[in-house]
Amino acid sequence: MRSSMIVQSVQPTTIPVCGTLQSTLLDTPQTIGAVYIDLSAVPLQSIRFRVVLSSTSAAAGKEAVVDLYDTNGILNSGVPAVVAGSEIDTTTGSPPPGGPATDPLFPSAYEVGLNAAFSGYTGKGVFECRLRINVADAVNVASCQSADLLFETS
Amino acid sequence: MRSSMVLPGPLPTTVPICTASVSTLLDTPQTIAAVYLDLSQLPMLIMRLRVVLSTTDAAVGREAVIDLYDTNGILNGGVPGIVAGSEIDTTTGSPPPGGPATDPLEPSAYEVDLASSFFGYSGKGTFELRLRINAADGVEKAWCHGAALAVRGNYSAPIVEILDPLAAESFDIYLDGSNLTVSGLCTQSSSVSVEMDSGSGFTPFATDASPTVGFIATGSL
Repeated sequence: MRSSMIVQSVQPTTIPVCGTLQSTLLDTPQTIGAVYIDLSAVPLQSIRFRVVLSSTSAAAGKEAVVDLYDTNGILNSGVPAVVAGSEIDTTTGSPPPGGPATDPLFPSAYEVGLNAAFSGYTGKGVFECRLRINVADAVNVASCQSADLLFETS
Repeated sequence: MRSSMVLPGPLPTTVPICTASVSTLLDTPQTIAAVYLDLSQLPMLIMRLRVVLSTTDAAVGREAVIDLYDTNGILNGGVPGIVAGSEIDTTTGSPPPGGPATDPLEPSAYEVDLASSFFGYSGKGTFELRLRINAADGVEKAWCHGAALAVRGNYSAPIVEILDPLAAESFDIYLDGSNLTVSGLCTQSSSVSVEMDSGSGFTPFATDASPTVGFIATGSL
């Protein structure tokens, strides 16, 4: 005898990396949150990095910039590095598919796909979310309201 | 009739406690985040506190130290206290099993197993995450960049449905070597009971209208 099972559609596994407003005046990356991930225990078919960012100036050079930093280099042969494709800024960044248009001066959602960067890796390590303003002037502030990694099976 | 199937193990459920970088200069514990837990809703087969910590000085005495504080004393007869075994510092702390070596000066993951502290409790209450530097000098900082409870086994969202309910009155699912028995007719509208095989050393689960597992199930009977 043979029976079947239905598996309901799987919601994305959301891993919060930064869940509280963090701001900086600096143009050197500031770690605003971090998470330990065992890549063998998360679905890797689709990985997206979603952030909510704003800047106090929409002028070129005053972008809020965020990236995901691979502290233990598990994607880079043990050498710590920015995760390829993870950098997002308030001028050139794109909203999540189907999401509202972004406005650098207001908290807006941005998203990048990181499938290529994570594909084929199964290590364990720390990933930092880092925030900076593109060019510091000691006046304008870059803010990150939240950051998440979204893992999906399809 | 009795059928069986083998399923891959569930993913850990992560309960975030702190999701941003927070620092302190002080050597008295500072509450940097808190979470309310209903222990009756958490399967505590595995309960681990996982944190990402760093300190600005690797010298002995400048450790970043974190603990989980049971605000309502639900693990301690109503008396507030530090959850036994929850203290972690950047000098003596251990990484998660199989994880990278820690470096006190860089954000590093540390983990402690709290299953024995939580086992057998089912209360509801607040747990504070508290951060301090071991010996304050007004200059060096302790940082916590993130903290979560990793709980293995989450049965809170239904994902398994047996299409042919008359085909199997009893249904065994093997999870990580533990034996769950789902009994009763599994229809879309009726409830079934799920209990953990006590022979595995775990407390039987209460009846759950939606037997669930946190992973994709495929297989045949």
